[in-house]
Amino acid sequence: MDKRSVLDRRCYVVGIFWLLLIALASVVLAAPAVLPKPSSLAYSVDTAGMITAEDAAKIAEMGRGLDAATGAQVVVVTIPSLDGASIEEYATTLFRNWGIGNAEQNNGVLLLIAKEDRKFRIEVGYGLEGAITDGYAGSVLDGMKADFKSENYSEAIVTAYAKLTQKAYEEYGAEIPENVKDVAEEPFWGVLLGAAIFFGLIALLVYAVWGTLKGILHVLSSGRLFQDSVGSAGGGSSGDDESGRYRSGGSGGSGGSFGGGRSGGGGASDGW
Amino acid sequence: MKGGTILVGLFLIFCLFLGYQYNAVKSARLNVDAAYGQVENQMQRRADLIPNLVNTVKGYMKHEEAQIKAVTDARARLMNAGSPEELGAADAELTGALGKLIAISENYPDLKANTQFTELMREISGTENRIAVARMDYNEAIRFYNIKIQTFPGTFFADMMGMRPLPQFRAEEKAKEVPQVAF
Repeated sequence: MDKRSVLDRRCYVVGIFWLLLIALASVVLAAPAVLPKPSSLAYSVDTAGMITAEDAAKIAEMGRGLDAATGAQVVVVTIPSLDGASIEEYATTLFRNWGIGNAEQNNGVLLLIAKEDRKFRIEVGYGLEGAITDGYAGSVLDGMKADFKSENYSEAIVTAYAKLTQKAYEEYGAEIPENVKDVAEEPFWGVLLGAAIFFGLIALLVYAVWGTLKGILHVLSSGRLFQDSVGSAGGGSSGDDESGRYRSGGSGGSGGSFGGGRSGGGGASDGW
Repeated sequence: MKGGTILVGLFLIFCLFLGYQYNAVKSARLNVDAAYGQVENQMQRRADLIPNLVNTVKGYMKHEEAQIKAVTDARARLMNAGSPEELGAADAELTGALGKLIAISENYPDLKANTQFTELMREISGTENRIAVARMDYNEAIRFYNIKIQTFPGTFFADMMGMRPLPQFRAEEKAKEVPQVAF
């Protein structure tokens, strides 16, 4: 018995030695030194002072909601400077170091903003690449440019965050909460939205009436009761039976820590 | 009797140790293959985007057939690449050709205003980045594998299993530059 435990211990020691060596090597050889991982989960890390306290609270609320509902984690990080690293490298390294998003589903999103370099990037985890395509990420960044040029950072960041959160909800077919929907719509377009909703309702009314008329005709002609109306139009969801049924985040990632997700380098970068 | 039991025990431990080492080398090798698969995957993704790009661009860049042809040829070479070395060379060529095409597109403002072109450029740019990351992961997997088979105790198994150290995926300096698109 004694010999066995000594041998096992030696194997462990050798194994650990090599593990440490490799770990050290990978630390030394790794890309840029990034912001260290916060000790507890945070949906916004604002080291460049671009987000107001109020907006940070809004972001945290949206982030918590999404995380609890789907396990997806959207994190916004602002840094003063990239220190010569490329924003792609920095974003990927930070994303992986912190492990944003659930480890199995890789449903993390990182919005990284480098203030002095005037560059930003949205890095998307493997699992959300379908919902947040490179093209969409690029368009979200475009939407931020004008505000950023006039140094109106905080609001633009919250809007972008809401847009990304909304897309993440859509990926899972989950109900999008009001607070996210309100912010995701550009405030400037509020009036247009109101008009669009109004006309949309009119169109819906016409469609419903027409559908009912059709239904009545159908019933009269075939003598069967028309059960389901075609295409119930839901609020922000896709309007089919699948809406409201979502994949619950496996390990319940709202326990206050990053889920360990990875990114593959997908997303978009831009500058202002 | 007691001596016999100890010997059997040691033998068992040795077998477990062998098994563990075999698994370690094997899984390191499988990780390398998986990482390589991801590299090919991303390159394929970019190759798939290129016909769209060529179609969008053709109408606007009527006098740039030479450069468009260069991109199409490079893409064909990439699709036919066999070994990692061939893939690396073809990839470098395609990246160069694409980069030139993008640079030329700067002279065509109506092309730049085309939303389909903008979207495609974002996708291609994003894919270039994905390729870079996939290659980084691949090199990482190779490094780990090479360490495993070139250090004790992996060296025993390497020879027995016929496993040789693998070369890293060398990118030419040109290929490392992701074509930057200014909007």
